[in-house]
Amino acid sequence: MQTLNVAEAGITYLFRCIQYYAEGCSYFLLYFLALLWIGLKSEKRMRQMFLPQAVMLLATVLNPVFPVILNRIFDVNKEYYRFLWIVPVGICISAAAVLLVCDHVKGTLRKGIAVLALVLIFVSGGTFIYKDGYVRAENLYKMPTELLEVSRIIHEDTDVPFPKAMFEYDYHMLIRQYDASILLPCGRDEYLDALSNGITEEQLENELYARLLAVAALGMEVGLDDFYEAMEHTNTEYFVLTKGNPAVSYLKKAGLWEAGSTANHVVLRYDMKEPWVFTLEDYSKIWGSD
Amino acid sequence: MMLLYAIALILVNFILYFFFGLLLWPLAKKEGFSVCRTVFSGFFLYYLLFSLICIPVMLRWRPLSFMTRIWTAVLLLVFRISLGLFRREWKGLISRMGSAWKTDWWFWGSVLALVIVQALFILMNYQFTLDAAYYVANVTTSLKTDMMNVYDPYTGEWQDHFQIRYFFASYSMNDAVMCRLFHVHPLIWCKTTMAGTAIALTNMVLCMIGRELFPGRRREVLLFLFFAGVMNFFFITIFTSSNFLLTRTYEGKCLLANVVLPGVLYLMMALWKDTKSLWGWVMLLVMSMGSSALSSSANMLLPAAMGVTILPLALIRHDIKVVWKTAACMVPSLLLMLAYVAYVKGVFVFYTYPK
Repeated sequence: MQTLNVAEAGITYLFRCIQYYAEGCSYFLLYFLALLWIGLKSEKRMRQMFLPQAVMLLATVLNPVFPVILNRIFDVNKEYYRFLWIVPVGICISAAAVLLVCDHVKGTLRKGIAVLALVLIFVSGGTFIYKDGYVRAENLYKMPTELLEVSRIIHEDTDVPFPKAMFEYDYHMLIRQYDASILLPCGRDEYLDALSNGITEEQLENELYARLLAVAALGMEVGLDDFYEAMEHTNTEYFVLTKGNPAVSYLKKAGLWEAGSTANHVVLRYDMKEPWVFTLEDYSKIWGSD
Repeated sequence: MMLLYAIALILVNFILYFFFGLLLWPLAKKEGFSVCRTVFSGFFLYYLLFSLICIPVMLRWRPLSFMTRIWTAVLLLVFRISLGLFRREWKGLISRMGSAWKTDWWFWGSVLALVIVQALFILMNYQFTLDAAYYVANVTTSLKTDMMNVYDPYTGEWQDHFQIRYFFASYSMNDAVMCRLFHVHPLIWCKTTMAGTAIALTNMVLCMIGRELFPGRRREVLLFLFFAGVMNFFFITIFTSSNFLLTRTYEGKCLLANVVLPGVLYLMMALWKDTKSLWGWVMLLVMSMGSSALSSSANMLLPAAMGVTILPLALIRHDIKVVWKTAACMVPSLLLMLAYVAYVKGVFVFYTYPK
């Protein structure tokens, strides 16, 4: 909900939040229909389990004034949607569907109603999780196999236990999940910011990592002196890019050389003037002093 | 072979939760014994105890290996105590489970089949999710550095203070401890073992709710589970609890959305039967404290969920004490939420070194 703001949207925030949350899926509507069905057709026990909770939800979480008041105490702009997890949408609809199928019809009609209930769930549902196809993980690590190779290439090539490398977007987000001994010159949020808002002249001037981001993420060609300064001061030794990335020729022109490659990626190495060795903080003295 | 090991570790998790749950068994005698309920209560007690130990260890800047040794000792102690508490019941339990399987094998077999089908889809799938760059990398980083939450998972740089958002939510640190204990790579632990555990726990809680909604009606419970399972695959935006279950299964938030919050509904159903149930109220309190380990969001969501779900029992059951008891159960979450706000506003700081 990055684009929604309670202060700006006021009492319309909740409706827009639900719109974003459900994105064309009608399960919230189905939830209220299910409540109606439970209210009319179920026994007292089940009514007491769902209906009072629904009333409380309507008075609080699903009350358009609630996020406005809450936002005065805590900033809930980005995270109000999590309150919608409390609404037992799936549980209530499934319970009502079971009631519909099992309690009020018999024989062949029951099977027909069961199929209809399922069709209703499909039709009123939103995006199917695998609508763009099912991508099977390549290995048990659930990482691209090439990423594992890249990690191996860097460790075979480097002279230090914690080399620092700059990657393209997806590998940048993945590499430290697999191999935490590879350090990165910038974090996830800086990368995302560069991709969504670009990099300003001011950032290029003041933030050394921004120059590396400009090359890896945006394919920009920064001045070579600025680039070397960024590599040296951020202690970045490697660039890992896809082979077709135009930045590869720029980096080679800048003097980086190919330390290795995989089917689609190339690992380029920069020779630092002063080799840099990252060391872990020594806490053993603190442990000893206690 | 490693895949089999990762799957076997799902079973190990359930055994651990079961033994932790047995510690609460003396409180649940009135309700009768249930394996699912024992695992359910054990899951929260497990994370509560882990947090209670992990937070002081982090505050004294002790290494992950130290925490692993302590936690191993705790696990062994819990085994010992649980076996002692339950020593007279084992025979009965095993024979009851045997007879339950004999009479209801088709029910439990079908439940298992539903879980396995969902798990196959989810566990074999490749998903690129940005939050893994923090959560999974935090486990990998903690293992590599042998410190807990001290190094920035995004870059590997040393941090001078703990990130409060993840400080009380020790779920990732438990992942790291278990990776060290069982010598398994964090990606395999998080994306197979814990993901499988989350899927099974989600279905277990749904099954418990189904059995409360349709007591003694096995076929209806199965249909309920089937519908609920299918809906998850069609309720996908980046915000829904279904999405967390299907794509971000390795996160504590997945468990919060799919186990804890439905768990509150289940506890309401248990308390609906008896608002004086000691086990029910103790469980609600343990849940309130244990869920903070899963995600900081629990501190905000759990009091809200308790308010809307449990409080109406005061009217339904004409028992005003429900209000005070519910309020008491909200206190731990609310305190942690206040601590979070105070930390963010700079009232206090937890440094990663003595200052």
